[in-house]
Amino acid sequence: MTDDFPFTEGQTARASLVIDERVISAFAEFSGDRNPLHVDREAAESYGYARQVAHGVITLALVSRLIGMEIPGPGALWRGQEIEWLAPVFLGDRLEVRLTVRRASRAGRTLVLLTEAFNQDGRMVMKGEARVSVVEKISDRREVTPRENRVALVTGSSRGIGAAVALRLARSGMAVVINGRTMTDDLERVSQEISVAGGRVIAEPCDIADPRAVAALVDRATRVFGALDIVVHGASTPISTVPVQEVAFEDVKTLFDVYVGGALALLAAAVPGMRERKFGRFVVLGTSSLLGTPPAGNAAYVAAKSALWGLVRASAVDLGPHGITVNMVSPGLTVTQLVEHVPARVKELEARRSPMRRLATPADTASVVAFLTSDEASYVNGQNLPLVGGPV
Amino acid sequence: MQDRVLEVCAQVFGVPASSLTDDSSPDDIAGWDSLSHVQLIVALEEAFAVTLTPDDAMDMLSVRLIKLVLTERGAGLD
Repeated sequence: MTDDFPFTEGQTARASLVIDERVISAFAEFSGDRNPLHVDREAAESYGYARQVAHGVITLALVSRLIGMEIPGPGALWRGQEIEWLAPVFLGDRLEVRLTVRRASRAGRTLVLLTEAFNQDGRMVMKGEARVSVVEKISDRREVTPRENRVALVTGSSRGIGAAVALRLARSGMAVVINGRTMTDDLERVSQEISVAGGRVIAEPCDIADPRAVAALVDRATRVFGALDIVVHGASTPISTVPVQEVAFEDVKTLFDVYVGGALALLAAAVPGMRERKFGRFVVLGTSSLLGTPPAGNAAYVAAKSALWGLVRASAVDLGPHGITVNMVSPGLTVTQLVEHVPARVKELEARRSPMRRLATPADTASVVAFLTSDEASYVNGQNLPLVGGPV
Repeated sequence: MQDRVLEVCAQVFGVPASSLTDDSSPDDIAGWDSLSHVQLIVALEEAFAVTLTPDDAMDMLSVRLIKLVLTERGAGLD
């Protein structure tokens, strides 16, 4: 992370200015200080000076420039100034102002600065000491990669919700890396659909449960498209309905490896680049089973997705300061191949019980994922968005 | 018989069978309330010679769901 108080004692900054008529008259104009000593040559002579004497605070204007733009720069709040003018500055003089950090208090976010000014002969014309606070930003709309140049990786995107998400993100102009466990006709079809529509896409099959394969996947995405800004983790393995007393830990572990292990590997590989660019989006696929009473016979699935939700919340805390959000989207029963085993009666019942009187579609999830990956969602973090057509 | 489901529903709710579809539900049939739903369960059990559970009764939230539940109970709708 960049140091937000990078100041050391002895550090200096300089600025110079030639005091011409324009400078003097501009200052006289806005300040109203039209003392003839400053603005009238003859009057200056009558006071015993060969040339007009510049307003003393013009010197301070250069101090202000250095404080506001150099040390500490933007965020500076000039709190106090002791000053002594040692010699007059005349029209035509070349003024050089120098700031030197005398004391830098990180704890107090305060700098004490030696302020000095010299004329073209090296004679000191002003010396003093400034106290400056370095104000922290409390909100920051960071400069980020333009949306059309962003790169998204969607795991488990050969069909169903993942495929819909990949197509949706590609349509919004992102380069998309699609992924399935192996290269299948389905994955090829999604790739072609994106290409035909003019999108940028590569299809990269790999087992998301294998951390080394995931690292290679992210590396390939970064090499091909230059960066990886967005990760949507939708990969799953087939789910079956089994009473809890018949669930072996191995069954849970299989799902855990894909959901949690996959997410951890994706975070490990993608976060460093995102931190560098101060922008990143992780969206993981949850389930409505996390929101209310879970359906019977889904212990392994619910346990693994619950663990994933825990990881989302914890990651959101760790990564938020770097401009990276981590969220979950939890659709209700969605008609995809993953739920082929669910009896028709259960699907129909779920639809009837939803206030919208239908099941979720892959497109419902895709549009919410697209929102969460956008700039508009930059303040949505660590959330689990229910997609169930009504209250839960 | 699929049509028999519609006939039973039509009779219980007091609407023409031709106005019912698989999507018909309490959302669009004014007479389908908690009282008539109990009557419907009894009528279905008699018409199809099946015994329904309380869960079955709760799940019958549309004509399509009635058919699915009756099929599970071996009513032989086809």
